[in-house]
Amino acid sequence: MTEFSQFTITDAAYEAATRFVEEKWFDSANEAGKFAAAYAIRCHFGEINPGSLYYPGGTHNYGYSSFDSDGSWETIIKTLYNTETPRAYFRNLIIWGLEDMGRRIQESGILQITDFL
Amino acid sequence: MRFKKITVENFGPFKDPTSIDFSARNGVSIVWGRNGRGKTTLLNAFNFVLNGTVKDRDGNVDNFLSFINEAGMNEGKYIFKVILDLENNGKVYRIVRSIAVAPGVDKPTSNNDLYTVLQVNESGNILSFADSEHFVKGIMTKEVSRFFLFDGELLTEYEELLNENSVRGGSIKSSIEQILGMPILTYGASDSDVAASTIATEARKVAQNEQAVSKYTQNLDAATETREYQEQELQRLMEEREACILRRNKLQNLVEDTEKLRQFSARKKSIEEDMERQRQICDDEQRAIAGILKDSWQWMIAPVLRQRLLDLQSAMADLHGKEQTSKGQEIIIEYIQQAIKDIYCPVCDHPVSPNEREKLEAKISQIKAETGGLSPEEKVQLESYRTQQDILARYANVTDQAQEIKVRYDRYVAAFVKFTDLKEHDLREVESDLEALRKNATGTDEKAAFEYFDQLGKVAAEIAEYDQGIIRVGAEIDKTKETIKKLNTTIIAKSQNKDVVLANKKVAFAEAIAAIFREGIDVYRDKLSRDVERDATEIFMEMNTEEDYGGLRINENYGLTIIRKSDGKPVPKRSAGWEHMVAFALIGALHKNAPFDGPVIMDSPFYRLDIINTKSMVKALPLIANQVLMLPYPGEINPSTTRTDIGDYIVQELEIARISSNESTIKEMSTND
Repeated sequence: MTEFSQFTITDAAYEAATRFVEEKWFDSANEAGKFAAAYAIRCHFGEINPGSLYYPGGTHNYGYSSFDSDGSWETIIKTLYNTETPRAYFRNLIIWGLEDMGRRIQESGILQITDFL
Repeated sequence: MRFKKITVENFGPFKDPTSIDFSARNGVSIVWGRNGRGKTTLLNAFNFVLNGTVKDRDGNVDNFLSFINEAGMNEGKYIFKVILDLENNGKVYRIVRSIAVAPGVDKPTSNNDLYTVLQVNESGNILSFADSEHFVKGIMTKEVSRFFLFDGELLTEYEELLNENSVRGGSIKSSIEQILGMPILTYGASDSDVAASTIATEARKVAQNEQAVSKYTQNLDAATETREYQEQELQRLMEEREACILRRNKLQNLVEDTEKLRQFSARKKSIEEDMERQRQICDDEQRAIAGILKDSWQWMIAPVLRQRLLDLQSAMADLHGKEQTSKGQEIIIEYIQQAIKDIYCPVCDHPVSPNEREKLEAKISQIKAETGGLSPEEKVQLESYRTQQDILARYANVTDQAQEIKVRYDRYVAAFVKFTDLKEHDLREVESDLEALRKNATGTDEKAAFEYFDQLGKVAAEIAEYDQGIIRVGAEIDKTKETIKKLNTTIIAKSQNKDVVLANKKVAFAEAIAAIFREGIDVYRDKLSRDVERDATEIFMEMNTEEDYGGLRINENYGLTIIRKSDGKPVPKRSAGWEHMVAFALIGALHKNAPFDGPVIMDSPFYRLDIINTKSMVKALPLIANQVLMLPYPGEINPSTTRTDIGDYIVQELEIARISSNESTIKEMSTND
């Protein structure tokens, strides 16, 4: 199965990534996105199934390789979730992680990076 | 000295000639007035007529233009006048001091367009300008006027006397000694010195022509010339030192006035430096955390990968075991098949019978049935597991850095909180203090405040140099004086001229008189201190409402400290109200001990006192002078209780009434108010 080479993220995910960058915790949205996917796996591995998540296409477009230049993520996700569409899973994990962190920041009013470790 | 009447015209809010007649009876005159009606103007009227100075609301001195009545000015009347009638040593005087417009000026726009005119009438005779000036200075100099004409603000300055190193305190001490008559002794000492020097010069001139002593007179001339030069040098040093002291005093005042500005500026700088340190900590920690977060995903997913690796390894172990068992059995089958083929068993080391061959073939079927090995799918699965294991193992053991981030984040937050606290509270507070100071100290900025401080240090060093110079020249003068004394002794011994002998005796006499005056200064100062302490204590105790306060103790500056009855120790920190009462007691004591007396005029003197102390001070008013004119506002003291407290000592009550926004008048006050 051939997977996408470009993908979009939701507005909410984009806003969260922008805030992380603006507050100087990451240099780019890509770094924030990888952190978000790692957060989703570290803290919510058993709770969420990236295969059953659905996020419609948005306006914030990224090249897949800017997130996973050496294909490590693709392999890891394939291994973790036994899936043939690891890129789609990765996108869902990025969006879920960013939106969840964004919501928690919204609720508490402050961005406390240690809350997501 | 007694005041009989004061009249002001076109002065402040008093446009038309307005007078206060003082009763011939001793006691207190009260002129009530609400704020802005002209009480302080009346105090200024006394200062103007006696000293020629005025001080406006902003503290500007001699801004005469601001004292011309506004309505009068609108009518083109650019002058004002104050007339004071008084009695002094049995004679009646009228002092008239006015402001006039300089010739050629139509409408004055600054003080330069105005000039002061003084005229004194002594028992019907008009004195010359010089005599008028002399008379006015004689009855009350500017320096001593502070003890006769004062307001609540001026009373606060007496606290400076408690600080023996204070420049302002030293200046007040000098004024105190002036009112107490100390200059008589100091002038006596210096006049005697001048007399001795003059007589000695004359004697030398006479002895010059005498053959027997000509050698000595020549030496004496040379020594005298040296002494004159040395004295000129000393004079120069002292004058320059005096100029330095004036500069130092001005700078000291500026430094004192700008002390808070400097303190706040230094504090602001320190806060800003602290903020910068905290900001730097924030930046450093955040940069370090961001560096760790860059590839954090690798160790963040490591725990999940480790768990997955364990599961994988367990599944692989099962398949691997099955695979290994199958391989062992295949070797056994190969051995059996070889034995069947060779009809010889290498294990038993004997030939295989047909019966045994059947058994071996059955055994092969049994082994094959029991261990079939890995299916093709299982073999693919095992291979896939092996690949996954390699990938998982690569990331599963990345060191977790969450703890380091937490430690650094705590430091980041602590620095951020400190930074915010400094910015929101400390910095805001000090900036607000600075802003308030900048508004009050017009024309002074932080830079100037620090420059004053630096200049003060330099001037102090200059004074120290002059002090050393004065000591050095003083020692040289003493040496020359000794030489002159020896030469004089020799001349007297050898001179045949009676005038010279007599003159030298006169010199010795004048020097002895000067020494007596100098000794007198010390003795008189001691006596004055004791008397002032005694009388101030008496007045203070009249006002005192605190049981444990037993009296006052004086220091070398005439500063007074309250002494406790219980332990005889000084009260360490007294309130503003008590400072006020002590200052009032000091003024009363100075009046009692001064060689001349005069009326006291007080403007709003009670504003720092509470009700009880105000009442006590009001009761003590008749003690400080025979004639007292008090200028209170109705909220400062209560009119009806004041009448009860002072009783018969009130000689009259007047009030400053408003005619319009820029015009007031003085009228008798109804005691029903």
